[in-house]
Amino acid sequence: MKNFLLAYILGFVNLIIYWIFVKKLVKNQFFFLALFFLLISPWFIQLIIFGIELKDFTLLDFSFRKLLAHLVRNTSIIYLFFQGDKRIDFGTQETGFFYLFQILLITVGFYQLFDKLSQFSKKMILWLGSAILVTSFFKISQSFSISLLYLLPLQIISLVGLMTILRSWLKASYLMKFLIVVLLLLALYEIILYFHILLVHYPKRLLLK
Amino acid sequence: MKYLGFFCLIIFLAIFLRFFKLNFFPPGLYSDEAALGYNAYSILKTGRDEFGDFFPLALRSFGDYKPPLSAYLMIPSIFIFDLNEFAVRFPFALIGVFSVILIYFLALEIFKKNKNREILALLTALFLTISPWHLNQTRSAMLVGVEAFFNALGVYLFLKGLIKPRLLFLASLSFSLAIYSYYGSRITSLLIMISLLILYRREFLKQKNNFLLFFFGFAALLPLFLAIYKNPETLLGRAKYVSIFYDKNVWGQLWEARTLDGSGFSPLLTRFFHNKIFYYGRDILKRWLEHFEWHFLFLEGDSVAPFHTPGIGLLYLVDWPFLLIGIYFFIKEKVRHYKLILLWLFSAPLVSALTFMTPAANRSFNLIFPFYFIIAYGLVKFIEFKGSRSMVKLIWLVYFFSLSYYLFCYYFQIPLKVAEKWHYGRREMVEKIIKLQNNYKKVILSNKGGPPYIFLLFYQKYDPQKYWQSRKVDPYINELGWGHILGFDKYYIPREFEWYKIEKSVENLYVSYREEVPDFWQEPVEGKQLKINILDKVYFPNGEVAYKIFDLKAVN
Repeated sequence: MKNFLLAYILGFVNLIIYWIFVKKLVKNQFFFLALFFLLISPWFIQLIIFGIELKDFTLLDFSFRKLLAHLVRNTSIIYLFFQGDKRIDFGTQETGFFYLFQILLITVGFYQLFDKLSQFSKKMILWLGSAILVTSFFKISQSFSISLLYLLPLQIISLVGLMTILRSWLKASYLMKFLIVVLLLLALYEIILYFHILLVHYPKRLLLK
Repeated sequence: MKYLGFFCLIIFLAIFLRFFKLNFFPPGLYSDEAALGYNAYSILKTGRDEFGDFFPLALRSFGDYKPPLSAYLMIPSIFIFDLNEFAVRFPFALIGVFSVILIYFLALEIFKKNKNREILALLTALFLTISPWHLNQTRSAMLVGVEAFFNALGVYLFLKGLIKPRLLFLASLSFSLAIYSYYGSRITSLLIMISLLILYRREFLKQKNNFLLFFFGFAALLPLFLAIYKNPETLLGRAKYVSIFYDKNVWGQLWEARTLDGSGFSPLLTRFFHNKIFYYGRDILKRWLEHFEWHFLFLEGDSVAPFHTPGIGLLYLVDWPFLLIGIYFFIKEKVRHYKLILLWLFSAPLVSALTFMTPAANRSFNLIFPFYFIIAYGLVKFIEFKGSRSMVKLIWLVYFFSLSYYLFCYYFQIPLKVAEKWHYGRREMVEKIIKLQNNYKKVILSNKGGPPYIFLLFYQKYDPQKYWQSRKVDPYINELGWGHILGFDKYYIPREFEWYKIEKSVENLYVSYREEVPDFWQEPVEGKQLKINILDKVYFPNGEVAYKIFDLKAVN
């Protein structure tokens, strides 16, 4: 049974937490860009549109092997960036929870976290690590509703990556500037494509279900 | 050399792990190994391969074209040890040991400015020695073990060649040999060379001769170009059939997406959203990333036999934190050699990403060298940071248990679980046929469990000239690129062995696979009641039936 009320509450809570992090991370000129970055992210949109499934939160009959298998499945790059939740009620079937360009942003973000190991970095790593671990204790792996536990920290890490890239603009060589522009164009294309899939393809898929 | 004793121990361990019971493990002989082996035997005896081509530069086998170097490497060992599993695998195991020696010296070069360079080199060599991935590939006659060796040798000679330019010629020769070992290297070697030329352009361009010396080595590729010119099929070989551009997956996605847009949607926008460039690009990226998924690297490995070892991944689970630490420091420490390793790491799975069977342990095998440089560095950095003696002991203990577990999986789990995929039982089957065949006019064999003709040739050391005269080739190549040999001499191998369609006579000997044919069967054939008479059976190590050898008896 889908729960929309809880999804909206969760969306709101996510927004507040994100806001707190954005205030710490981002200078004023990028503030709205950072906020916009969350609002257009596929997982956040899906949370509002698809709702969450409470049934997924059933605990696993514990075994180390199953735990490891779930851990692996839940952190799969393919799951997060290409596939998403395979159930039509919780995934567009054509996209993951993040855009492809966020692979680069998350990589840069992680590097930054480790490079400048601060209290913030430690908190983020602990949050992400424990959230991923917790998701592995549930019976269903690769579930959108469960994955919500660690999608927000990943989004924040992705923001760290974005800010790092944007800040490096002034110091960047011409080649690097060119690559950043290509990345931004790709990002724009992907965002438009995502909305096309969500608004044109997904309703038709639901009808065909 | 400060740690000569340790180095010798590592070499000894590498030899032991690669040569111990080489003829029995992996169980059976994979069809590609048999094909390379028989072609080497045929070239040794006649100068021609199984299709009668004189000293070929591409070996035609099972409908595709295999790179030739591996078969040529087998010739001396087949000459010495005769045609058997050990002789076929010997050069690959030897290359495996040479790879351990090579990685040691390459690591000395890569970590040249590090105070722990010797320890790092020893660790890198040790990790490669006990690597499940490397052991799997070098204990069998798989092309990629040779390719990765020559690519690494090319890198080593190039780096040394910047000081002693004559070595640059050998570096390009080595890259050429990598291409002769495995055709995927036409991309991988090229990418590695481009990385080298970009990173070391200043030293390389210092002397004009360098350019000439380096490119002169590629003259070794001229015969291959000639072979391609004579027969363009050689250019792509099997790559054509496994390429993502041949597979219809992306086409299917495009078709589905365009259909979902519907006829009312602007065709221009449909083209903008659903175009080949983006969809293929995304597909390649996805397949490339699959090679860095930890279930592939650390838990399950390649899901496709024979590259799969049940219960274990390609790297040890304990390597994982050191890999992450190593990558972090390789990026952070902006050393040119480290950049080279990272570029090598990222270019290695590209060939595999262009095929539709991903992630693939064999096609991405070039990953192995960069991985172990990084893991060794990660471990040293970790010990520098958390360097208590008990921690070091614990790490070695975990590695010891990991190796023990891998050996258990390799020697006990493979025979029980995937012996079939290694075409186990073909030798026993041929031995039994040899004993019985003189009493029959025809021997009709099932095509399942590995193409039988190559095993009949291999295990009987069949005279190549006799084979050319009597073989019957089915000209049809199926959608996966597989050809078929219909038989030779008194052997008949229908493409599909369907019992109800097979010619039935008391003068024939039959070989069926698993339970294709029941033990009890009786039917009237041309006025006579015929029934199956099981003469012998071949079993897999887990006790299941592999082959049934039987004839037909008339019942009164």
